[in-house]
Amino acid sequence: MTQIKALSAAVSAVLLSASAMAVDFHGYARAGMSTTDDGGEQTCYGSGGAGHLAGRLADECDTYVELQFGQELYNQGGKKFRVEFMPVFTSENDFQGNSAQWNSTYNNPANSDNDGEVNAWRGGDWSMRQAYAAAEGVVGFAPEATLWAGKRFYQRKDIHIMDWYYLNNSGYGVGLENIELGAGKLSVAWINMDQHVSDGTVDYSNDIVQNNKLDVRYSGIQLWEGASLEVAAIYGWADLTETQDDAGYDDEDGYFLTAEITHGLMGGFNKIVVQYAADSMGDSAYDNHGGESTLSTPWWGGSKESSFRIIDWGVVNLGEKIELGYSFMYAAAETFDDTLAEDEPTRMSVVFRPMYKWDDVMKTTLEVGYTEEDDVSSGDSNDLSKIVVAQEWSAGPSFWSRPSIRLYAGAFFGDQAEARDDDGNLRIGAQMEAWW
Amino acid sequence: MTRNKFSLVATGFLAASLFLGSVAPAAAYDEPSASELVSSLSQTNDCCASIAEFSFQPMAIDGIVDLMIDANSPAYSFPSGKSYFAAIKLPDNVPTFSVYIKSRAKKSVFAPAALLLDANRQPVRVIPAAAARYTPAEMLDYDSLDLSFTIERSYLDNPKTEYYMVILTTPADMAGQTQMIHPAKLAAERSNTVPPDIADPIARHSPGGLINVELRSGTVESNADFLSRIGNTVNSWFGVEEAPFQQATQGVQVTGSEATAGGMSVVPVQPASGGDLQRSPTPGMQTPVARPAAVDMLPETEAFYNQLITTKVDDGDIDAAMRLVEEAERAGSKTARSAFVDAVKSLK
Repeated sequence: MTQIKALSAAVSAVLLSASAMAVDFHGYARAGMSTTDDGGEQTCYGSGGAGHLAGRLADECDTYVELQFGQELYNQGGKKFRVEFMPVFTSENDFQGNSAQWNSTYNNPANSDNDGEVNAWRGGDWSMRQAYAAAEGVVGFAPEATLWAGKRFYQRKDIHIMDWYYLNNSGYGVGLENIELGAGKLSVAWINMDQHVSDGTVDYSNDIVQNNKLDVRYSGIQLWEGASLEVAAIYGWADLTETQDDAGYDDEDGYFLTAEITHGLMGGFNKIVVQYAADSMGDSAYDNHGGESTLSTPWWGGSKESSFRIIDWGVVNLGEKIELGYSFMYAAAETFDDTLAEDEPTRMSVVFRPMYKWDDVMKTTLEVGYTEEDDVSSGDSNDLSKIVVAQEWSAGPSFWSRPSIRLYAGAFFGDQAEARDDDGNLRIGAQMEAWW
Repeated sequence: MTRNKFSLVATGFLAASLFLGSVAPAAAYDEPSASELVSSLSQTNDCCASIAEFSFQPMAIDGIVDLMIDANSPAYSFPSGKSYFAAIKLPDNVPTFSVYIKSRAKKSVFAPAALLLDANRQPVRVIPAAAARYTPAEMLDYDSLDLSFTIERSYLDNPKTEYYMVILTTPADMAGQTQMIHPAKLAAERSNTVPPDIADPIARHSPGGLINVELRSGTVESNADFLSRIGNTVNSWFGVEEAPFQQATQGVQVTGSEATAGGMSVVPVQPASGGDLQRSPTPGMQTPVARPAAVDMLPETEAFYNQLITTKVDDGDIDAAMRLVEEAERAGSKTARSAFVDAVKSLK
């Protein structure tokens, strides 16, 4: 009997240690093939960095893979320690791996540095986009809060169907998250951003200026039944070295403000976002990944001195079988250089993605989008519209179910498409998108 | 590609997807209306004079069945209250195995409790619905309330070996509800973005619903990897992942030899010290250890135990009654002992 007991104790010890040692493997990935009426690969009007102002479906020409490895290292007595790592691969769909393996000496014209490597294996980049530790229950005055440091995606907010991050202050930093304070939760973070200074009043090409961002967020302010408000304020300033200071580098500072109302709507949700940005952060309420950059000196005269943006987006159920993702965005800005052809550019975007669910696996998805924006150099306003239909097979019945394997057909129209000789050009393709 | 060829390919592409699309879409799950079931249950007569007379559907080891509990199901006035139920004959002559009950949650959910009977169809053990854990929908697995427990078969000559299982719910459980997790929140979590701050969907508890029952060799602990398939832990590499949400804790179980509080790790807990060791249902695990943290027992489960204890005492089966007292106390009952004492007193 003692043996049995010892054995069962050993077995449970093994099981428990297995539990504590478990590595959570999460991730995101997309990749696909395409062709068009004109032949060749499709051209894409957006990207992960620039977003997709007419919607992302049938507009993704890249391979993008996030691999996330997390582990809870300790969880006892209310104290938790956790580490997260995320190596990320990205490449355009050209000259990589399997597409040219048969000829190992083939030189990829996209490579400027022919250093004799097997070029078929080139074409992509890796980055450790997250590497941080988080601890809960370690700060005396706020045991509920999470203390973190390292490099991370910090409380990002995005419109999925546009790949548009309207609030993304990510990078190297330190912070304390979710401090219970009054009616809501307070999060405070300090995040760095490095800038290559190659333009501005003084041109010290390729020198790096560090900029700092103080990020304060207060979430969970209840407004009415089922609705809440979150406010975010980011203040950015240049952190010049003494040498840089003596040399007269610009040291612009600025700020970025966000107010977001979230409310439940038709089995889903709707978000109303209002943002304002100025000075060193003047681009933030105009471009994708707002809150990421604070510029000690503007990139060029067309950088925004101030910007304003209003967004309404959501995902709702239109019935048992139909889900709809939608977004409306309008942004207006003023450039630093007021002699440009258009020094007060505007940008608008409307995207609808209704989805009919045949069953738990198969869906028919339509995505229509329209965008129009001013070119500051020429003063022209350029539009782009899109219509795409896709048949999707995904693991689960929800709009959010992934992985999804999709076959699509569609076309782009308008000024931006004409400029690429792609107006009305039929494109077809197959893409996978996964998160897990 | 030439225009003609392209049109041909494009047409073929679309035709193929439409063809693939038209192949047998799976039937959607129409859940029975909770309010209709409440009224039909109140008007339904008991199927049988006693639990022993139920008609038990046999299940084989490693078997999986979907059971629809609705107005067509038999009903019975259990000591805990009237309920529709499903009755299953557990396999004979197989070693220790585990039972997994997944109750599908949509707008409503059947909060499953399990009543286990011995070879004579007398109650041995109750696993209350309070022990069921919510598992969020993941990929093709639905939101569900899950119950898992081990059927101990190491000592087949044990008169309390369980051979029959009744899946039921109680009126008090029917009045409850389960808060689920909105799928947009889980997706945001996986995308490293802030989950939308919205209310989660609620499944009200219903007298009926769709139940999936699976029997699997081995104990719940030894099947932990299997659990990871059931739950949202498909992405764990080197072991069993903690569920990402606290509500989603898996595999919580309350058994004769083990009682764990909701949210605690699944630690085999051995019988309390100071008790009568001869009465321990698993003689291999008699060493005194610390008592588990107190579990809050639902009042209706407590009442169910008390009713069983009184019945056993009335039947003269004091030993069984005493074991029920111990088991009820391990599971968090505070009134089982006094119910036993009262029943013994009233024997005079």
